[in-house]
Amino acid sequence: MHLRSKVMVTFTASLLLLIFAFLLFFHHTGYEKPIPIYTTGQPTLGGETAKVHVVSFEDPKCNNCIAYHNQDYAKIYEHYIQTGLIRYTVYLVGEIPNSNIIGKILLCVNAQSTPAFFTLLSAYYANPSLALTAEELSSQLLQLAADSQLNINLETLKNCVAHNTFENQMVENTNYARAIMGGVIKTPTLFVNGIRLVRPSYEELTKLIDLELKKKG
Amino acid sequence: MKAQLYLYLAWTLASLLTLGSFYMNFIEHKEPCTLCWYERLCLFPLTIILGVALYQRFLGIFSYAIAFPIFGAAISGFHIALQEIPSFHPFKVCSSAVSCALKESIGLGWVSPPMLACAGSIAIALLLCLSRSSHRIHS
Repeated sequence: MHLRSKVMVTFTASLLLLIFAFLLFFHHTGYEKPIPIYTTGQPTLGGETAKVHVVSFEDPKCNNCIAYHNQDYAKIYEHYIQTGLIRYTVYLVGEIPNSNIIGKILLCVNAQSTPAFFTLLSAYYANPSLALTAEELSSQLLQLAADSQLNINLETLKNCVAHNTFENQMVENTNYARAIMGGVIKTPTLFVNGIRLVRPSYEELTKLIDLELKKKG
Repeated sequence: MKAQLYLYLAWTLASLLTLGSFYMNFIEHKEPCTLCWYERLCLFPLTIILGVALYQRFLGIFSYAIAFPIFGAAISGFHIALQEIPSFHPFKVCSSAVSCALKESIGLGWVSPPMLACAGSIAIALLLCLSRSSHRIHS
């Protein structure tokens, strides 16, 4: 009886570990085929001539997007965007309730100035709002825009928000993200020259960027 | 025999939940929030102590192990309340980098990680109770 207990534990533990090892291995073998990503009108930084284009699909209320932006984006900006090595586009989606409120305001800022969009995005991610109503969230973000000295016209921004100018854009962005991700939006998902990386670590992301930079000479 | 079976089920469940959280961390790259870490703190030791108890056929493990799923269920219950009840913010427990109050989808519809942790903890506690009562009846 005692031996059977030992065999049961050893067998189950080995089986579970094998399944996990298989998943880990299966996950890390190779990259998916690149797909074209249409980024016209989306906030983009970096040179037109850059050989690598990174597109980041983010939901402003997703925890992993907040963590990705706060931990990795600054390093990506410093090493790759600022140096002109890559173009970097943020594709905002509104899957989580009230995300589209934040997205609409950010896209209104982008309509006036793309650098201001990225400044406000970083300011928001550094202290993400936990406001629960759309009105509270909207007024908090407008206040953040005013406090961040974005060098944009705040009246124009308020009008843009009041008229829901980018409401359809957020819906289209979300539908597009759903379509290219096979029906389930996972954020942040980054595409490096069209090659998909779901919630990559900084090392995984830079490894692929470096690989693409090397490939494109 | 039944006591051993219940213990085996409790250990298997704890192991599956542990591997599930590793999967979300290392493969899905989901960043755990502070409360998620406390939930893990109540779960991970169970994988070891229940496994060792089962291996050595030590069926008196109940008193050593039961506190873990009870605390785990309490913490995940609190976490669920934070996510589901909009006005429920009794005190600040999480960093601003990864909020505990934002509900994230794990591809299981409305089921969130703390819901899985809570259901798992309650099931493990029940299995441990069943294991103890069976052990008492037969000894």
